Amino acid sequence: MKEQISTLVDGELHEDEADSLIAKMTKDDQAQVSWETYNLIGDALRGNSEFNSRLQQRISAKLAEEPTILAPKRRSISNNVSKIGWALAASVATFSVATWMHKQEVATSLEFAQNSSVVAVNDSNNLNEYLSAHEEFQPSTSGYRHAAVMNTMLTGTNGQ
Amino acid sequence: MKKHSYIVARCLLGIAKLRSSRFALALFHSSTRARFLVRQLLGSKKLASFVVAGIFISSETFAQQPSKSQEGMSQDPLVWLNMIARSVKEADFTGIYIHQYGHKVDTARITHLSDESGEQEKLETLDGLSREIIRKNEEVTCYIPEAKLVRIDRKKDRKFFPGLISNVSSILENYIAKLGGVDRVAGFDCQQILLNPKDNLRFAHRFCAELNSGLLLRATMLTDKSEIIEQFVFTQISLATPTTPIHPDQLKPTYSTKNTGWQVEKAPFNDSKPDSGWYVKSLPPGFKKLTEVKRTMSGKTDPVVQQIYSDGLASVSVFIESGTDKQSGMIQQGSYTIFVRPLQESKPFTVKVLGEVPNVSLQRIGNSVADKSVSP
Repeated sequence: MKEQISTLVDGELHEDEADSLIAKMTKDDQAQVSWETYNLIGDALRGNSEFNSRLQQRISAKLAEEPTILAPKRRSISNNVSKIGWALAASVATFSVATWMHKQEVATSLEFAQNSSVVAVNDSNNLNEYLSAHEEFQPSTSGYRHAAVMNTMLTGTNGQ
Repeated sequence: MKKHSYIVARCLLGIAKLRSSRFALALFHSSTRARFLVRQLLGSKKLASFVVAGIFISSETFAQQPSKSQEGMSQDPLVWLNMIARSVKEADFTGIYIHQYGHKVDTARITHLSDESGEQEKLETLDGLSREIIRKNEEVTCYIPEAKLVRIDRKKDRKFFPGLISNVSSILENYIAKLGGVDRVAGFDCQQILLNPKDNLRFAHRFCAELNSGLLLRATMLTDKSEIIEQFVFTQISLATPTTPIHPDQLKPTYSTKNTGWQVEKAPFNDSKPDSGWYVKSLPPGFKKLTEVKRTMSGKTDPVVQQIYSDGLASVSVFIESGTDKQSGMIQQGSYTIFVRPLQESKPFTVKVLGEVPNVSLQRIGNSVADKSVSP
């Protein structure tokens, strides 16, 4: 019971449970004392400017006067709506992250260096021959893997 | 208390002169705490100062030993780079490595043997078109099975992974070498060496050298954002031991070319230094011309001049061809970039530059290509 009251003071108790707890509290003096105590603790921790030693007395007096309960209505939207809201936010976030990550990948594959902006993207393969020619002098086997380069190597002359 | 602080500071500064001022500051701050603690123990401020100074001096004396860690490994990146350069000539090994360039990935096996006749190397492609490249010192023989062709060539400056570096001192003119941690590649522990460029005209490199032999197990070329441009990494390697040597048979070609319809072509051996008259006026520091060739290319009536420049780690090809090209500027082709620049001399030419350098370098090289005969 005390744990529930503490949760209620923090405003984190479920609506239905809160309703039943408050109903119990009206009949239970011990529960009311606990309620006062927890609120007191909370105010003290927060350094509430309105906090003073008379709070306990004021609460007791107020409670004695008013049998009806001051039930804080914590949730302004219903459970279902809040659930849907979170799901939507999560899916939007995931989509944004996925798009961003895809962009990163594409960016990496496009350019390895910064500074100069790329003027055009060449779709045809006519420049590949230059890459093959360059690869002939690379420390990899790339230069040997092209059938076309083999032909160039045959007809090209070294040192002429 | 000020006097005692002064004494300690003097002692520490003396030590720190051997290192750096930052070190001195760190020492002083740590000494303040140390003094406080010792003071608590000894109850005397003066004594505390001297004790602390004494501790620091003695620890520094011991630290002045030659820089070798407990394992006996050198902490000097230069030593490691020299080991890498030497190892590829001296070490006998066989291994399989992956080469990654952009989105292209290929695998090859390399075997190396060094004996009294010199160096022998066999490189085989393990995927794609089958190729065997057999090197005996400077003679390189390439087997092309689908064309039943053997091509014999002499390539002096030809390097194959893991023999990526040879001239360490020239590399250090343009890169700053730093040691990283110890990593593990292909089952072997290896020392990381970082080569950071001194300017923005080249990319950084990260090497991983096997601890005992210094053999390069992994080499990565990175942008300043640590994106991988190119990488070579062994997935499997066997280093020869006295009981498990590399056998010369492992370096023989798979293909038998005698009397089986294979054509053997020998490239003309020409030692002359080719010079077409083209040169690059504004080369990025450290880049030197390695070689020049003339080649026929599709769609071009005249042979195209190709010049290769390198700073020891990265290389750039400059192509000069006659005629105009409808494209110009920085063009992205797949995962590489090519810079195209029209050039008007006695007749129109087109310059094309590509290589493993940032775009600024491609542009700088391309824009400064000139004809020596015209403008000295």
